[in-house]
Amino acid sequence: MKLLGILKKNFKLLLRSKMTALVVILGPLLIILLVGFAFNNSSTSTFTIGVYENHSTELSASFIAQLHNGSFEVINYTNEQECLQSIKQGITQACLVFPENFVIEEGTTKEMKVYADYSRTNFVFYLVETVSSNLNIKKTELSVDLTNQILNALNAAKTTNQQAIEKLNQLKGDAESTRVSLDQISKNLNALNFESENVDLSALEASIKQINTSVKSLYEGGLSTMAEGIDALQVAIDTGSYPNSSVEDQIEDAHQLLSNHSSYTNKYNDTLETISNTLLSINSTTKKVAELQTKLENAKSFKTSASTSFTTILANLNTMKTALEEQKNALQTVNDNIENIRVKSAESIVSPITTNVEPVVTETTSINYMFPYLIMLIVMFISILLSSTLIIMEKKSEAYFRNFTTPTSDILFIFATYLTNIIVMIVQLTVLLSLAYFGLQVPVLNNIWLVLLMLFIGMTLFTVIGMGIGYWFSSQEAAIMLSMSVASILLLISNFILPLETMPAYIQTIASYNPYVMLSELLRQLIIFNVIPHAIYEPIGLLAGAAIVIFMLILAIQKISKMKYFKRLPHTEKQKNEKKKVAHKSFKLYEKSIESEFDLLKELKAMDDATFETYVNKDKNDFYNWAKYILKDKKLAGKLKTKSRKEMVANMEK
Amino acid sequence: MAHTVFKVNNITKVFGKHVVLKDLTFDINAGEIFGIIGTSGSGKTTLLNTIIGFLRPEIGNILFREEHLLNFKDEDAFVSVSEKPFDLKRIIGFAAQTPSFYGELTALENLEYFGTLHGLSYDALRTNINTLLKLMELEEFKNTKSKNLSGGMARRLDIACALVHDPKVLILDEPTADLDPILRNHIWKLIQKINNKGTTIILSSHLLNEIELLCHRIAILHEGTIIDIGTMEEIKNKFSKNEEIHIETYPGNYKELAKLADADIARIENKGHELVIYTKKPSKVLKLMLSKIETMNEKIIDLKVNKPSLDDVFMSLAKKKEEK
Repeated sequence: MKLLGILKKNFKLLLRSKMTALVVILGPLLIILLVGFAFNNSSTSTFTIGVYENHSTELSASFIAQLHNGSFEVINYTNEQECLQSIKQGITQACLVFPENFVIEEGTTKEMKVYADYSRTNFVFYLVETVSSNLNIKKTELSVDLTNQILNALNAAKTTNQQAIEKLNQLKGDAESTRVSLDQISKNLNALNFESENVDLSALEASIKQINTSVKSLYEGGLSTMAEGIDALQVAIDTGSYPNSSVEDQIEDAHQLLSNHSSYTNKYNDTLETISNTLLSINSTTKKVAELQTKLENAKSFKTSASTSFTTILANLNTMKTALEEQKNALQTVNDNIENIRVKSAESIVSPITTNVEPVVTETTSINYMFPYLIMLIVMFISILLSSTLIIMEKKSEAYFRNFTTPTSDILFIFATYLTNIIVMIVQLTVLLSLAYFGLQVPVLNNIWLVLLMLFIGMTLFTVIGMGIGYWFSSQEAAIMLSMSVASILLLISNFILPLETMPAYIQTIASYNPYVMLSELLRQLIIFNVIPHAIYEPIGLLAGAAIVIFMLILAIQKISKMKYFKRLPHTEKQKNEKKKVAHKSFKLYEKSIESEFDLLKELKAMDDATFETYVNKDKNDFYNWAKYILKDKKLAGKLKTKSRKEMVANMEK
Repeated sequence: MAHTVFKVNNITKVFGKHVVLKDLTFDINAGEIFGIIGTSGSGKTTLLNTIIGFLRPEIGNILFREEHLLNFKDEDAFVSVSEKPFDLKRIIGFAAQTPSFYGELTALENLEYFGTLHGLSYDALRTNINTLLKLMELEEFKNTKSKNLSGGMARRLDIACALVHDPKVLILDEPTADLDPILRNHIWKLIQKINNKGTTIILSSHLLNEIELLCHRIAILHEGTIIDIGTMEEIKNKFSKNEEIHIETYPGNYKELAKLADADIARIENKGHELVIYTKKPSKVLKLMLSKIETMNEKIIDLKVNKPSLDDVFMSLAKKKEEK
């Protein structure tokens, strides 16, 4: 009943305080809506890049075109400083400076400069990566072109080599046949015999004279023979042994011949003359033969010389043949090497291995990836802020005092505040999760019970942290500052702004105990990957334990805060001065006044136990307090720090 | 004989190095209006906060009679405030110097809320709220947001919140601070009404006329110690047996009038606009003074015979204390 009454009051106050209601209730909705709009896409953002090129070249134009293709907005600047200034002024996010005479040429390396704003640490790596990848596309294209040129040259060289090999083969064949021919010529030359005996033309002349005589005799014999033949034939004919007609013809012919012997004689004479002339010619020939012999001698000498030359030529031809063989082999090796190049496409040479990063889960929108971090972020900020605000509102309320006048335990107030916070958070999360599920298609139903458990633990832990802050501080400004600071620190040492992996090892160790990191990582695994982490119960136990410890601390802090609240009322400088005057140090023991340690010891010895219990019992020890607070005598207070009269006396007598 | 509700036994309260209350001992009786007067910072609020159990004395204790023992059958049946704080809170209502309720809630909602915290049943809560709204004349404004109530109404609502569980003892800390005289008078009447219904009231104030008007007994607190305690008459008599004759005349030749000499005149003070004569025999001295006024052709504008005011008593006691 009381709890219900406190909750009812808390909600009325929350709802009636328009600003609080706006901030606390509408705030998270606005956050998720804005975040939803901001992250509900899968494409990268549009960046503005400043570009400075001293002289525009085809190459620089191609790079700029690539940036346009990569969805960059490009602004051209007329000088480098202006381009850099544009980053400082936030007009552009990066500045690309092309070198002078930006063309590809032998012996020079062209460097493009990309200036980026590294003060935006969370953005610069993404920007540089995006710009670089776009520029790399163009650079790869250029490399591919250049490599293609090399490959084409190699292919042409290979073809030329092949043709050269074929020519060499042909040359080799020709050389061989030349060698064989020369060899044969050499052999033939060697076989040539220029040795000759002296030609005796006199014998020839005599022979010719004998031939002349013989021819004369033959001539005359022939004539006689023919005349006898004719006579014989005539006899035959006359006897009729032969057909008349043909023999007669032959006889006729023979007669004709005989009748023409004068012509033959003439001819014979002519022959003799001819022979005579021949003999003259032979003489002439003999002279010529002598000349010929001289020439033959010369030829013999030449043959010897030629033979030697041929041997040399053959040897050279062999050497040439070997060289040609070697050359051919060398060219073949070159061709084989070209042939053996494993990758022949320029793309493969330029980028032999490419990396294709695939998402672990189906890629949807950025909000899906961000959602676990965002929802826990909202839980963290709202829980801490709302709970500290509720506590401060209550403490600052005029009615705070009156609550203490009622028979209501402090724990009930604390629990009611916690419950108020949790109910508000539950309402908000219900709306947020519904929006996320139906509006943004975030798979929040994955492991829904564990997701809800994580959210509950988060709400509880961050609420008790906020409550602790609220009870510790008395001013709203200080509480809000600390709440924001705590939430910001938890946020900073998490993956939300910068990857934890980029932080020092000790920060990473601290971050592993950051409740925001623990809870958001668990949520990420549960919602995005739809897996239940193996060690899920360890962090749950740790966080629940932390919440309980903080709750216990809150009880203590609340008690201290309450004491401070009541103590602060009468403290003014005037009072402090006045109180100094109230310096009576006596202890009123019934009607007696104890002024010193000695007096007290005397009275304690005489005192009965019932009287002693009036001053020293389970709730208090008046003597100890008197010594400590009035006499400011710590030593005496130490002696009196017992509930036993006898012990007290014994301590004082030591 | 009035029965004791609270027994304050030799309490000393220390804040850090400062002794705020020193050796205070007194009782509070059922049905009385017990006043605690003192200058600002004299320890009044600390004393009230200690009585209600918000602060725990370093030395001494405060005992109270539990609700079920309030039939007074057992005179010695007292329990310590620190032992049973919840029982104490059931029998007391507390209204602090500044109104203590939620401004964003209506008067009715505030009463309902604090009634709920006192564990009242629905019916009892309704009955008490209706009675209080009538008593405090807040019926018309019960649905008004408390922050929109006037100063007097806010003070009445605050007292109503303190009374919502029908406590036996009502503690009021400076109940009329910052109120104008008309509202102050209204609240005084209200306090008397509440007391007439049998509620014991402990009231702290620095307004001496308020204490003088309302309280049956008073304790004078100065620099953390009680310098006197008793009924108004007892204290005044303790301080002085003289009575005061206040005379205002026209044209007001007080210098001449002040020359009046008599053995029964303790002293005469010319205050500029009036003459104050202190005497144990006011009737005799008044006759002498009237005679002199007549001979001096002065016209009487105002004439009062008073006992010494609490202001005088308080100032005198404080002065004595300082001198000690």
